[in-house]
Amino acid sequence: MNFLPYLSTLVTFAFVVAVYNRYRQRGGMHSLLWALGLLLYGIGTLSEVILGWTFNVFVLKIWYLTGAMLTAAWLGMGTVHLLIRKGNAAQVITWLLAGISLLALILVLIAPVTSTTYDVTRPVSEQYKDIFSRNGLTILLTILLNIYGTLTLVGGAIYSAFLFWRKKILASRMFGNILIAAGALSPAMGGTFLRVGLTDLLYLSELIGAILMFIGFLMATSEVSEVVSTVPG
Amino acid sequence: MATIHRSKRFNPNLMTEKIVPILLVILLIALLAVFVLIGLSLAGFFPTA
Repeated sequence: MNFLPYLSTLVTFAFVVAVYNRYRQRGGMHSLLWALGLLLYGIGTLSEVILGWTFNVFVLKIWYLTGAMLTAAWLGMGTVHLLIRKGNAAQVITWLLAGISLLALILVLIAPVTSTTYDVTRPVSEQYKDIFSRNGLTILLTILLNIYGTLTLVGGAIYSAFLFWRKKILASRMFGNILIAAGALSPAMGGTFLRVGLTDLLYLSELIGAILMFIGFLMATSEVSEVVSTVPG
Repeated sequence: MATIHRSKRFNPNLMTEKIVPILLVILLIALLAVFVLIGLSLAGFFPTA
């Protein structure tokens, strides 16, 4: 099963390039934040690839910071910018998240290493708890960041799809958002399964999530207007 | 030359009328299930976690 992070990394970095290109062409803070969230996703899966070759505590901590703590929250932050256009609430939350992310970085970097026994043939998700010790604040932040990210990313995609369905407009965006919601739920469920002791499913859930969200993004951003005639202007 | 764009509305069919709402409800239930599992694990229902 350890080939899965290779595929996830390839798909995710291709996804980062696609979203960042859209940001360069059209602007929009939501696209930039999604690109950032996906970059964190890709760094997390790349860490799994590296940890499949060799063990390094710093890489393990980067894996935890990006994959377990920050990815969902920053992806969800992009959705918040897309849905909350009025006022500066989205900006305020973004700065708050930036501060919390910095705190998370410090907490993970200073977390004491309790063991260096690591088996590269087993998933990192099975072993990280035995290698570095997370304090209560780190665990609390992990849970809160994931709840925030999942609620905003998945909830935002479901809400957007519902609006398109109710208005009967933009079918490709409606289906795209359904795929994004399903894709975002996949690693969220994988992470939750990890929490309840099912560690094997994380890599598969990451790959499924990356593929579904990428297809959903491509559908949602495809050109929808159809030129049917031209008249003299 | 100016262009005229067809309406972005789509014609309702079985897929959009019946299946999409079911998909949305399933996604919503899955989202709630994630939060329920997180809550249960925090409450100590999964000792292996």
